[in-house]
Amino acid sequence: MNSTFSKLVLNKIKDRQLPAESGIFLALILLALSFTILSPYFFTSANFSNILIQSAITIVVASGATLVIASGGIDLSVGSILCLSGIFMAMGIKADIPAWLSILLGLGGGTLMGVINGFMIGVVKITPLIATLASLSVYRAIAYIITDARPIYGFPMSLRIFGTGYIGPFPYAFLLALLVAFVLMLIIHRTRVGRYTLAIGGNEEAARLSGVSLWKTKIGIYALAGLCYSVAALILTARLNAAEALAGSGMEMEAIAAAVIGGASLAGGIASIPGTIIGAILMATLKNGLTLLSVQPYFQQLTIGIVIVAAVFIDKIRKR
Amino acid sequence: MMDPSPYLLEMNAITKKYPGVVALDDVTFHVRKGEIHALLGANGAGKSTLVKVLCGVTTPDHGEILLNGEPVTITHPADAIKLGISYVPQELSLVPTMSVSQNILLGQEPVLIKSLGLINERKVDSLAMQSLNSVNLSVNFHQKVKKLSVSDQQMIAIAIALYRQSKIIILDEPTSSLSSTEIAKLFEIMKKLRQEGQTIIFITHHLEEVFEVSDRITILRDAVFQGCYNTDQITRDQIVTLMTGKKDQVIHRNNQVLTSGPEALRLDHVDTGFISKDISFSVHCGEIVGLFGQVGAGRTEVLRAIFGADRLAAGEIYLFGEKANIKSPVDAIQRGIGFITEDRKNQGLILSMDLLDNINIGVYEKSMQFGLIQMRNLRKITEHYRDALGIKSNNLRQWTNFLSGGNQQKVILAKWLNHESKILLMDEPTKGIDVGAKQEFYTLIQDLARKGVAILMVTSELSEVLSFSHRILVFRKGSIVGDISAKDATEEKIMSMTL
Repeated sequence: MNSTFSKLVLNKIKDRQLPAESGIFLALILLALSFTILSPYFFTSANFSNILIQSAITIVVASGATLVIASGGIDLSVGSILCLSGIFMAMGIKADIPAWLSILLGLGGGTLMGVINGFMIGVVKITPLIATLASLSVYRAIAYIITDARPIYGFPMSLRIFGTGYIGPFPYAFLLALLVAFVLMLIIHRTRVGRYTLAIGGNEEAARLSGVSLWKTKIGIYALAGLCYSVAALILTARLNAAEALAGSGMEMEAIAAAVIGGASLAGGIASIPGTIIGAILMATLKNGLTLLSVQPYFQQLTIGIVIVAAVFIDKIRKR
Repeated sequence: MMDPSPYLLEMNAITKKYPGVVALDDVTFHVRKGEIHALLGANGAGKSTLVKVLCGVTTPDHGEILLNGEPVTITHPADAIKLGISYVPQELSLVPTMSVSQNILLGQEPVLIKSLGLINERKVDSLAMQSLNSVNLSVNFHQKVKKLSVSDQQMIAIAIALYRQSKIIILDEPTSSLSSTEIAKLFEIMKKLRQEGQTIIFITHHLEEVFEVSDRITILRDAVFQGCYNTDQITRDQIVTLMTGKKDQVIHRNNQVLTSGPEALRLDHVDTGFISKDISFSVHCGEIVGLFGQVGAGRTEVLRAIFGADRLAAGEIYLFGEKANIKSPVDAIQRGIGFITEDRKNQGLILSMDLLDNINIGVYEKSMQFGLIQMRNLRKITEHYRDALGIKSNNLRQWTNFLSGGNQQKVILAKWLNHESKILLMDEPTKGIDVGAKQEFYTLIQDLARKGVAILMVTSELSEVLSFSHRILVFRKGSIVGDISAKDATEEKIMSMTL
């Protein structure tokens, strides 16, 4: 019965009666259902807000990564930008700069790092993989150098609120993440830079010959992505009440995974922010549920790998 | 003993339906051994679906395929290759970074020790040599394929088919990017192969080519088989009637009196750095200027230079009397130049985007309010151009990937109308478009010219350049060898200039 139902949904998606994200959304529901059955602790409000907090950072970085992927590019420097802009915020506060200004400093720093990525890719014309592989290494190194590999910790409440506050049952961080995702969605669909991003991802040469300035658009894309990563830095720094040069390593994989699970094509031209959000929540749910079931962390990583392959495979079937 | 089937290939009652469309409706296709069989039909008539069925790219809903009288099942491209059916697509699928001989033997390399897959390098060259000889091609087989001309690459594609000892070779519009001398060379090889007993299926849009090389003709129209004829027993008019269901529309000469407007574009001793050298000419508002010449004569390079797609090596470009420094397409578009590229799919359209985006790209600001693109305005603009140009699509959100060639070209034209281009550059704008859509396109362009747009059109079709332009610039080996009014031009005169 289950398989006939999923076939039905698959067909509805094919005929465009249901949005493309429905498949992955259904998977999320099924996953939540199974965890509810398997663990008494899963279906509780405390745990749900845990999941939302856990997914917030992934949603934010993955939204940025989705934009990059939509343009046919890739960004490996996610974790390094996150880390370094978090350190900027922390150092600002430790230098007695007001919290709001420190936060702006961090966001500005993240954006600037994105601009540098975009410059290498759009102007110097280094392929995104190589350019961001290099910046991954450089930004991380700078983080170690300026902190001397020592963590910076202890921040005022005005910063920590972004990781610990609640509005009703919803964590601040999650709402901030949704806001960022919404703005990104608006940018992709309702602004020039967003449309140009999809155009470049769909066919770079046609976009160029239609009057799209490739270098300007690419700098814009990576700058926006950098800004997203630094918003994630704010949430992470606030939650941990610490910033350190180790933070955010491996985050690029999580960002790419969420985008891909959500239906983005690494070939470019196709991306969905709602899909990315669901992808991020799905990964957080998976990790959370497996932890509740006392599955070893290594097996969690293994499961996420399988989920990525499964998501892409289902997407391929859908497109047939 | 039973009589052997008179046909090498029999496709009977082939039907293929896609959601909403019947691509093939009970189609019969019989091919004799050792003949050149032309497969004709307007765009969308079902030629390519029939070929896809034969090559195992799609499976038919009904129907049977017999090879030498034996029924065969072809459900996968590998089945077709095993049965000796080779397809040479219009856009060649060679590996550009590999050498000629590597391309020819790709997938069928001679091996020294089979289990190790160790390639027998000595044999590679001799085998490659053999197949190149069979198509009379003398190129260095260590050369990378990307360095060869399209014509030579085509010969290599045919050589591959021969190397695989194909029984049937399908050539899909092989002449579409060849010059007339190259076409003659191709036909020579086709005739030679026929003499050697090779069977060839030949898809083309050009009837003169059909009469020149084919033995028999199968015609499809709207997914339905219209008949199979011996080429020497049918006339051109009969074919046109069968293909279109109506009489051939005779294209008249462009006799409109040109009220010469102000100068729109002038090139002064332009050197593109590749082929075209010392190019000087001017185009006036409302004028349609045809750029005629063989493929590779440097016409496209001139258009790309005007558009800022490639840098100028020397010379000046003047727009509306003023010197223009065009460094990129962005500059060109801002100054009112539009460019319809030859390669619609790779340079013109963004296939993964819909009509809304393809028509409004570069001019989104027209739809913007409060800093955001308003879908309502986007739709209004798109609907306007869809109706004005008669673009047929299911809805505005349809990916341009799924439009027919003629409609795709209209979408690109709509984009430049939306940009309000004053100078329109067009590179082989009617290539691969069927007769009816072509006529529509000509009418649209002539209307534009009447409204004062200056039009510069590269074409390799003699009848097109004669019927359509006010003035013809003849290119030969990178320079302009003739600048004649279309009224004074004749086919012979122009052709002889290009040779």
